[in-house]
Order: sequence, then structure tokens, then C-alpha cells
Amino acid sequence: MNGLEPLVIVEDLKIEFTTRRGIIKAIQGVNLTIYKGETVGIVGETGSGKSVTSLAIMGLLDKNGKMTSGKITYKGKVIATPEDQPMGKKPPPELAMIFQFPRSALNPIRPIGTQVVDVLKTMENMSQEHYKEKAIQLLEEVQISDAARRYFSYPFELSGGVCQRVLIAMALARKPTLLFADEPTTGLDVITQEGIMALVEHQIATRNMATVLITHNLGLAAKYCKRIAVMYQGQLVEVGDTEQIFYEPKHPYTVVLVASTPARMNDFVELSAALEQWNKFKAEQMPTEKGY
Amino acid sequence: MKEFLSHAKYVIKQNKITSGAFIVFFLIIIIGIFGPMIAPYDPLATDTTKTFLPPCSEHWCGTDHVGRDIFSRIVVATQLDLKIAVLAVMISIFFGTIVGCLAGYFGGWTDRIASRIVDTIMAFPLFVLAMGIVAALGNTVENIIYATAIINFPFYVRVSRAEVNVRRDMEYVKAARISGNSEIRLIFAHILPNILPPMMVQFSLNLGWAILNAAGLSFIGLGVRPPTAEWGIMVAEGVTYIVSGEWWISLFPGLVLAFTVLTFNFLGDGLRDIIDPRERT
Amino acid sequence: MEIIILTFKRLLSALPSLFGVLLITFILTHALPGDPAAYLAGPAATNEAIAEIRKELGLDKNILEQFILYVKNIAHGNFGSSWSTGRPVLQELFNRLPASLEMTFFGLLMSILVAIPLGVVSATHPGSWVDHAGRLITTAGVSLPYFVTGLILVFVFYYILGWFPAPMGRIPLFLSSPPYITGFFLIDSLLAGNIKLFLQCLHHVFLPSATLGIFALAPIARMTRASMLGVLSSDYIRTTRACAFPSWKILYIYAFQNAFLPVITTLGMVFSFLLGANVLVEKVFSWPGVGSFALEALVISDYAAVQGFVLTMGAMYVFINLFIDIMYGVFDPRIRMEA
Repeated sequence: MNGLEPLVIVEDLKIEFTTRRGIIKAIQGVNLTIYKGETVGIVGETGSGKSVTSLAIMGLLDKNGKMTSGKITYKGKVIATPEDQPMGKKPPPELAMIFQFPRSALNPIRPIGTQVVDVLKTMENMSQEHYKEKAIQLLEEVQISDAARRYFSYPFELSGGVCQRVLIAMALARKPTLLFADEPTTGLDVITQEGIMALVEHQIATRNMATVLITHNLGLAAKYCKRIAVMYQGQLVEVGDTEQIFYEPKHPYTVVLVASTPARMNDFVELSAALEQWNKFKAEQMPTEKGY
Repeated sequence: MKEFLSHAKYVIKQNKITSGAFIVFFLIIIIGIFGPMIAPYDPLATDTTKTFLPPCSEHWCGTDHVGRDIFSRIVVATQLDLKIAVLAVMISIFFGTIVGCLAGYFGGWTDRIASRIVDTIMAFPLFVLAMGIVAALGNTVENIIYATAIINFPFYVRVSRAEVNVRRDMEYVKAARISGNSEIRLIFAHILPNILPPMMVQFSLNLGWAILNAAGLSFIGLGVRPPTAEWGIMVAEGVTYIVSGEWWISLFPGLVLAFTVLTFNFLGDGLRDIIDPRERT
Repeated sequence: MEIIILTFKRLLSALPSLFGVLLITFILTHALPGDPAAYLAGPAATNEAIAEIRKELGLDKNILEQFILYVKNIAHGNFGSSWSTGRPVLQELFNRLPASLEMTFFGLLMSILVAIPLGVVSATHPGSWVDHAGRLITTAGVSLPYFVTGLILVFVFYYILGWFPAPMGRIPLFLSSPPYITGFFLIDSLLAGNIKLFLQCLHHVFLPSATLGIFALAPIARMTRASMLGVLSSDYIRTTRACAFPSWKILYIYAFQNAFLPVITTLGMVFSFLLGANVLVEKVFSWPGVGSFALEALVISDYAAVQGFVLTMGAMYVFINLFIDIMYGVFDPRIRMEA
């Protein structure tokens, strides 16, 4: 696709979950390729299987899940098959993931700085001082103000938006070529959402990082993704460029999805202009505001 | 009602331990009621020629230091132990539920005072408080029952208070209130019947505990006195002989005690599974 | 710094409980039918002795003044005198408390060393034979009445196997106790450098402690298991997996440290319970602790001693809970920062 190299190739993936009520066929034959540096969105309703696909690629599948057929390759190397199940394994290096509900995704009794350091420790060996420096650097990179002091804060002392930034910092510490973001802003207020997504965009640009944005918010996907994959009940019903999905949806389900989205493409241009104005105003007229 | 019974049967069949517990439970009740009649020997009859006999065909559990048949004593003791435990728990439940309902429903000062009292009682380890009560009131079986009742009282207050709290603002209570029922009538005629199932579960779970307490108290010499046949006392009487090898005097009553408590524990678990499967561990 | 504030706050909230303990003990002593002075003086007392006690307790005054007098006495360490030994009750209790505490602490330690790993393994390998065996052992342990457990242990390990000494006290009769520093024989013998004595004391304390420990296994193991299971399925453990943390870090630093918090509370409950259970185990093993002291006193109607015992145990319970609360604050920043 346009000379970009594929990072992750998912071929004919089928995943089943064994529950007390029987077997649930969560993924029923999904084919998807994720290319280097692109931002692709996976959209669908709850239960469509959009998270499961990513969890399978990361090796974070639940113990009661089983891959019954298919193949997942990363940079040409096969990382999951029915014989080599995608669970309980360490995620492939250079792959990272962030989740919904950031505050509960952090260890509540450990300072956030230490948690970032814990990630750094899996990457390379440095002195204790260096770890701390690097962690503070990362915290600053995700635009957490007063990072040196916040290093010692606990998650319960921070807002949801700041917690998500910490998690992004931990993800970035893995120097990922591909970031999975599973509903990263759902549950956060709109303004914080903008801030987080802007941060992610910035990181994508600076690091040439591919991103998979999993969301049920079609408007969000429309704004940030170049390609969109639509899932319904474990099947990939349509994949295409964002423009095509919105203006020429082919699958009947996609049509419905698009039709029920309140966002209009024009708004997004006006919004960025408005945001710029507001930031200018803030800096000039309200300099004592702490932010976050 | 039919639905409840068939659901109960289903759960019991599912879990072999629970069905076993039910069967043993009925057995114990029967022994408790008919004990004195089925015992082969008079539990109080001493025979100095037949002391310290190990288990044999005439005396299934052997004889003790004064020649009494231990098996008969165990069988007869069932009635006494059950009586003490049931009476104690019933007193606890009665007063505990009333106080708990009032505290849970009215909240405020009622709740605060009740909670303080409950917390203070719970500050004393059971045997310590029992010893204190016996020291103050005298060493009789009635006082043991009262002591055990007092120890269990906080537990029922807490449970009923929590249950009433949950139901206090439910729709059917609001409806009853609007139709003019007085507060007291509301609590006892409308809410109470609905909290009976969970209370029943606590009752059966507590019964095993109460038997253990009663036996423990008589083990240290409080309440039941020789020559009465009671499991705790029998264990106590045999303690000195363990070191010389006459194990049957203590161990048979002790094992029967343990077995009974285990039965009641499993029974309580089974009842809980029937009534509220969410609470399963 | 926050710990100090927390300690202070918790101390304040413990005061009503202490007051409750004093009140109940007072009611047991003074407010019940009968003549408290006669009780406390003992069956062999002369009329003058009874009259003196009556004056000391202020029984001729009204109930409120009696209570104030009672509290004042307690505050000065005057728990009354044991008529049988003639010594102040407080002193007797003080002499015998280390024996009880040593047995209880050691039992709790034994229990923790078995129950917590059991709970952790049960949670990380659900359905394994360790899980099932663990649940069976702990359920059996908690259903057996502890005095029966003690007797079984004595019978099997002393009478049949001879591995442990006769249940007749803390040290063999022919040895003398270590020089008194803490009152805990295990510690004192180590401090005196007497390894042989230490081993003897260990030998003697083992079975009584095991009796208590077996009973404590179930609640601790169950809570550890439930807590670990809950924690292992939490969002932050998922994050550690997504960040490829080494297994030991996920399990011991992230999971266990969080799972341990409710276990602390359980430990407190268990310890308080064991305090009460002491009485029975001390009887089985002829252990010279406060429990057997109170029992003997009860039998000979030495009521002052019994009341002192009740008060001490109640107060200890309050302080243990206080300690547990503070410990919780040490381990959980959310608690200690609520100030």
C-alpha cells in the first residue's frame, strides 16, 4: 500500500473463548495488515471483537481464549498460530498498548515515576540516577507539568488525563514502532480528550510510530485515522481509507454506522482554529492557570 | 414455593458435600431427639471394675476413668450440646435482628449507639468475656447460654443492619410507606420477611460456631459440670489421660464435635448457595 | 510525617473503644447483683477485709463516683489484688503475659509462613493439586476445635512418635529459664547466647503454637487467595503484562504488595481471636500464661484476678486493632494521605 512496509499481518484469525455458558466465537476470520507509520482505526460496537484482535497481537489474550486458526506475523516473523497461542507471552518488543480507565491501569500504591522507571528497566541497564532522569524526561515529553515533583505522586492524586499521559509515557518508554490505543479517551472530558489525542498525534509524527486506535467513537476515528477497519460480531466487514468509508461506505453495516455519527467533517477544521485561539488567550490573559 | 424447592434440590444434587451434610444433619437431629432412648448404657452409670477399657465390641468407644460407656455419653450429649447452641443462637438472632433492623432503618443516633455497643462487645475475645460473665453471674448452664448469646449478638446486629439498609429505599418499601403503614409495621411486617433468607444462612453457619463455643466453655470448666455428659466436658476429662495413652476418652468426643461442626459449616455453605449463589467462593 | 498524623488520629478513635472496654469491665465488677466486695475479697475473707475492699472501691458512693474511682484506680495500675497470692493483679498478669504472647506470636508466624505462600500459589495456579490440597487442609484446620487439634497433636507427636516433649510447660523441668530481658524465652535465650536452651524452648513451644497456627491457617490462606485472585485480574496487572515486566516483578512487587493489604486486616482479626483461644490451648499444654492464670483464678473464685484478665484482654484487642490500622497506613499511601 503506497510503498509502506507492513508491520503486522493478521491472516484469517479465529479466536474462541470458553465460558461457563459455552464457547463464544469472538473473532471469526479477520484479515488485517498494519503498515509502518500509519494511523488506522478499528471501530465497532461493544463485543465486535475490536479489542480482542489487538490483545491477540500483543499476546495479552485471556487464559480462556484460544486461537483456533490463522497466523499473526510481526516484521515477517510469525508470532502467533494455533500451535503457538497468543497468551501469557511477553508482548513483542516495539509493540505497546494503552487502555481505557487510566487510573485503574496504574499500580495504586506505587509512585508513578517508579512505574515509568520499571518499564525503562526492562529496556536497558542504567544507573539508578539515569533511570530517574530518563523517567522525568518522558513525563515532560507527555506534557505533564512539574514533572520532577509529580514523579513521586500516586495515581489517586492525579486526574484521569494525567494518568493516561503517564501510561503513554510508559508505552513510549518501550520505543514502540506500533502503539495500540484501546479507547484511550473514553470517559475523559472532551477537552482532556483533545489534549491526549493531540499528544498522541505529536508522538506519532516525531517517532514515525504506527498507531491502532480502537474506538466506538466514529468521529474520533475519522479525525485521527487515515484508514478505518469496521468490525461487527467478530468479523471485519470493511476496511478502507477514511474518506472512502465516510463518503462511499460499501457494506450495509458501515452505512448505518456512518449515518448514526453526529460529527460532520467540517467541524473539525473549525475546532482546531478555535483551539488555537483559546490557547493564545490562555497564555496571554490567564497566565496563573496551572493547567491539568 | 415449589420453584424454591426444586431449585434447592438442584443445588443439593450438584454438590455432593452439601447433600451429604443435609443427610448427616438430619441424623444428628434424630440422635439429638432420641439420644437417651437409643444409648446402650446409662450415661451416668459408673463401674469401677470396667475403667479405662479401650474400644471393643461391648463398648464401641471404650470406657472412661470411672467406667462409664463413652459411646452412650456421646450420644446423650448430642441433645445437650444442640440445646445449648440452638438456644444461644436463637436469643442472639432475636435480639440482634431487632436491634439491627432498628439501627439499619432509622440510622442516625440509633445506629451510632447500636454500633458502638456492638463494637465494644466485639472488643472482647469470646472466652474472655464468657469468663467475665460467669465470674460475675455464676457458673451455670443458663449463664453459658447467655454468654454465648451475647458474643454472637453483634454479628446478627451487623448482618440485619446491612440487609435492612439495602432494602430500606426499595420500591416496595416506599409503596408500603405511602399506603400509610407505621414505621414499626414497615420494618417488621414488610422488610423483615425479606431478610429472613440471608439470616437463615447466618443462623446455620453460626450454629456450628455456637456448638464449638459451648464445648470450649465447658472444656475449661464453665457451665456444664460433671457428671453431666457433654462433648466439651468429656474432652476435658480425658486430657490428663492422653499422655498415658488412653486416647479414646478425649478423642472420640472431640472428633464427634469436630464432625458435627463440619456438618453445620457445610450445611451453611449449601444453604448460602441455594439462597444467594452470588456469594459462592 | 503522615504516619504520625495517622497514628494520632487512630489513637483518638480508639479512645471510645477503650472507654467501652472499661465500662463493660466495670459493669461486670460493680453493677451486677450481689456484693462485689465479697466477690473480690474471696470466700475465705474476714469481715474486716471485705469492709476494707468496700471502702477502696467506694461502694458506699453512687455509681458514677464508683466508676470514676474505678478508672482512676486502673490508670494508676491498681487492678486490685489477688486474694490467693496476695500480689497485685497487674503484677501477676505482667509476669505471665510474655508466655502467652510468645506462644501466640510464634503460632501466628508459623501460620503466616504456610498460609500466605499457599494462598499465593492457589491464586496463581487455580485448580492445581496445591490449590485443592490447600483448601482441604485449611477447611479441616478451622473446623476442628482447637483444643481437639492440640490433643491430637500431643497424642500423635508426643505419645506415639515422641518427637516433642510432654505438654508440661515452657522448658524442661531440670533447666532454668534464661535471664529475664523480654520475658520471651526464645529471644532471651538467644540474647544470652545459649543455643541449647533456645532449642529446648523451641521444642516446647512448637506444639502449642502449631495448635493455634493450624486454626489460623484457613482465614489467612483464604484471604490471601481471594485477594491475589482479585488483584491478578486487575487493570494494572494487565498494564504490567503489556509492558513486558519480568514475572517476579509482576507477582511479588505489583500483585502481592496490593493483595497483602486486606490480609493485614485479617491478621489483626486472627490475632485477636487467638488471644481468646489462648485459654484453652494453655490448659491442654499446661502453659503458664495469662489464660491458665485466669482459669485457675476462676476455679478458686479469685474474681479480682479474672476481672483484671478481662480488662487486659479487652484493652489488648483495642491496641492490636490500632496497630493494624497504623500498619495499613504504612503500606497503603491512600490511607495515610487521607489526612
